[in-house]
Amino acid sequence: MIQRLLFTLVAFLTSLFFILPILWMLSSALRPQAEIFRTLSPLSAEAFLPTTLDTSNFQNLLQGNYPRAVLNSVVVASGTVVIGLLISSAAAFGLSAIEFRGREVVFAIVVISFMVPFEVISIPLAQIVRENRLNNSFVSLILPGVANGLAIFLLRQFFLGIPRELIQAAQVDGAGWWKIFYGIFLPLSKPALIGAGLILFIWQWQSYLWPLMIISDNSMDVAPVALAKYMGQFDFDFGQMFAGAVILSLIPTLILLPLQRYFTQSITLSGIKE
Amino acid sequence: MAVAFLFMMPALILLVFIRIVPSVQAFVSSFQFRGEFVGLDNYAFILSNDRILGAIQTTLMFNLIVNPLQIILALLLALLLVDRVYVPSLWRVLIFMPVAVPLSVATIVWGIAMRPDDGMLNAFLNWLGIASQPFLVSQDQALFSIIFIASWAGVGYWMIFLISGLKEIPESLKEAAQLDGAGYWRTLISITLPLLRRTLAFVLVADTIANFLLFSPIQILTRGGPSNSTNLIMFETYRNAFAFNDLELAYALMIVLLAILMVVVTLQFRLLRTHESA
Amino acid sequence: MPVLHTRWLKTFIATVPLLMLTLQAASAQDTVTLSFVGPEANTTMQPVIDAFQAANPNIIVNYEQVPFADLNDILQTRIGGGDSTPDIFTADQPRIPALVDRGFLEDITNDVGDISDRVIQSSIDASTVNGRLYALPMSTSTQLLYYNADLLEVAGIDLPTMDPQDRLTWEALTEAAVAAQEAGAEYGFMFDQVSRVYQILPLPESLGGGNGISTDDPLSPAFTNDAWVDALTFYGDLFESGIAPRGVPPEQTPDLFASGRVAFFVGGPWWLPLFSGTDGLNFGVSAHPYFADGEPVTPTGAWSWGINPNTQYREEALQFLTFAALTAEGASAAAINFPLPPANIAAFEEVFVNNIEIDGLGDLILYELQNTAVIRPLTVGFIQFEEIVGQAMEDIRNGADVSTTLETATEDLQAAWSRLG
Repeated sequence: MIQRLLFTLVAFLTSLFFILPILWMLSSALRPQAEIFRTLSPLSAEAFLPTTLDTSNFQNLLQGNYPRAVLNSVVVASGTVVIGLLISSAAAFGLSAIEFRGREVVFAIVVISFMVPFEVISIPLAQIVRENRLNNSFVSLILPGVANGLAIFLLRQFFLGIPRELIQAAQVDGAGWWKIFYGIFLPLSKPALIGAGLILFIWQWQSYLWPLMIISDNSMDVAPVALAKYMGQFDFDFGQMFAGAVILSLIPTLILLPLQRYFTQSITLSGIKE
Repeated sequence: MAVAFLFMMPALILLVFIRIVPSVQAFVSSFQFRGEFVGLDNYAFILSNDRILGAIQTTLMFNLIVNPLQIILALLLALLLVDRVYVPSLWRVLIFMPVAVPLSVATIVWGIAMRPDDGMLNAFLNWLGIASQPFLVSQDQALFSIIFIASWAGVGYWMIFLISGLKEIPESLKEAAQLDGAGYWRTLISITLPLLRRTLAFVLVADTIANFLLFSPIQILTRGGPSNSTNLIMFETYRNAFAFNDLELAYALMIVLLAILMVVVTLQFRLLRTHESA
Repeated sequence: MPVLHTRWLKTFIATVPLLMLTLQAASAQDTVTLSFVGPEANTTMQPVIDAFQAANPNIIVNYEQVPFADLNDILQTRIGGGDSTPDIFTADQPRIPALVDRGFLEDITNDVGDISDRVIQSSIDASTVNGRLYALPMSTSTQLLYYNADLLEVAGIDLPTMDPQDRLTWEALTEAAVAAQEAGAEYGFMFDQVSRVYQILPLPESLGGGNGISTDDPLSPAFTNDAWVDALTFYGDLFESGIAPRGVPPEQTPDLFASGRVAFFVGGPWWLPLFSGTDGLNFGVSAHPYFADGEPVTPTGAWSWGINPNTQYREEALQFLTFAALTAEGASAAAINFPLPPANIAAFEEVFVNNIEIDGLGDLILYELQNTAVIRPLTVGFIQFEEIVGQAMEDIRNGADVSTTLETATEDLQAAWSRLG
């Protein structure tokens, strides 16, 4: 259909807007630093396309601490997602499927928890971590990421949409709450779980200040911190910074791509998606 | 009831110890100065300081613009990419990519793009026949430039959630409406949006909070300028906490920010009336 | 008596490893690990650490790099927490009064005595508060006027010399900059650390306007006098007239000169390797400009290393610092990979001057350090000063009215300083 083609064109142009700066970063990472600023203006395709293929920035990164740092980021983020999903879905279930007095108060606490700017309260928190010798540990990196009220919020919203009839039917069959949670809610919630996983992952992936404050061991640096160390007081290595950033942005993107098809699930048992 | 607590306990324990308790401590500290109790002095300072009052105003204005803007953009993109194009997964992922770029690097890239004399953005505008703009160096354009950067970096994120929410709405309902003669927009307003309410509530509240807490582009690009036009409360808070080491003032500012946020979020919940279950 | 022999033998064999372990444990207890935080890459610190550890086998120095942009913020929170680590850290000299006020630096006056024979005086002054020394100076700095010889020749401008007595005035520089632009240069002039107090303070200072704080009271702003207004009007006009660009932050300015787009560039000597290594860049160096009606003033000051008062290893920390700052061997090792001139006089001559490939530049730098260098204001409230005045400078750069901006900044600074008790 013409309309579909037209909309696809719109989608293409829109995506171009979002992707062009990243293309620019990639091209800049593949050229010598002096060239990066030379091609800014006037408008030319040269700025956005890798016309030189100088891979020295990437090579330098790979030889240094960066691969280790990216691995650290992946490990910490993955750990956050696994533990976070378990904890958040359980909490969301308790806040939606089960009715009890004071439910709204608890939910309010959950919402307030992610209204608090983490940067500010991280100062006393970091001190507690250091005093208890818990700095330089993946556990103290993961824990704040796991306590993510936003993920609980998302899952709760989704769970609220699951018909009560399903719960009642299961209870009539003699199922306990755990069975209902594990056997009914979770399988129906793939889109929300992926969404919550995304929240947990991105929070940890973008996390910079907290690792900076509690990690002093270079080998445990996460990628954003390792990247920042390339901008010294007298040495501004934009090429390397961009190379590192391109690598960093590829990973969540590559994870999201295959997970897309799980978004096509509907909870109404009667509707079948294409 | 007890069962509910069992489910919620691990999360609640962590939330309480990692977020709530430090916040309460911050609240208590906001009544202190260098460790000694001084009552409302910090708050009096905030309310009498023109610069901070200006930051409160700028923050409110910033959020009044950026939140509806980003939600509407994300919604339009979601409506487009839910199934109305070829290869929707590709476009979705491309639009999502900026979310994965470390925000500090994205900010630096846009800072370069917005250089008034030779940045790519002005190069593009010139190519279209439009005069070069000052962007971040202009009192009038700096805040909008920040809104622009924040939107580029965040809209893809919210779009993904909205797409997921849209997918939950059964086709059968929409088809029924269309059989009754309703056009696209009619269906959208009377069927789709009401059924999207839960997801919309989530996206609106989450985005609002994220934007109230935004400070990184300000810290890197404008530091509140030009002429305090981009001075946001969160930046003032960060600056007092880290640069000036005036922790108690930072906590007081944080409490002020929280208070405003709570009012806004409560209003948003009321607006979308989602505290009832399905 | 074979049984007895065997028993003695067994006992002996059992005891020896025990003895060895005990001895090893004893010496292991003597090994001290110092934690050291700074913004430089590990490779910069490695030579001085290696040299020190070679001479002191029982002390290990564990260096940790913190990203430069976050260094001050992180140090405030780490040391402010009362931690015993880091034992040693790099202190940005103008921040030393604030660090001392907060109790973050150890008083080492009595430990080192008079060091003026080994270290440049201005850097000692910058590490001293109320007559007490709180950190050992490691580096200092100055600023030079770079010029693009090709752009100047095309415009028919005489190339400036390295004679400090013969330096250009700001007025003459502006004329030359305009001429260069008319002859084809994209920009006439640019500052390295644009809109930063470090770089721009010499302008009002050159006109006799003082360093921005009152001489009577280090917590009283004083930057609304005529000299300040004149100097900063000159500053704002550079951008208003297009001689220098707006919207380019300090991290991106060296590239402007290196890529041949600007005729004159005031910047630090640490850009020499970059400029020398750029193909096709025909540049020269001259002395920092001054106002015709005023005095030559150059920026100076850099880093000192200090001890955390909560450290558990004061003696060892002191040993490392005195090695790195006061001995020729240590200071030279510290200076090898560091782009700034060392504060240690011997290291300055042996390492820094020797590495300069341009004849006569070492003399110029030394002249500036000894005659025209003015350190940044010594005040407990320096961080607020730097932030607020720097922001005012950037606003003026972007076209704001000078008097209004300076007056508003004065009020802001007074409010911020009222928080210092």
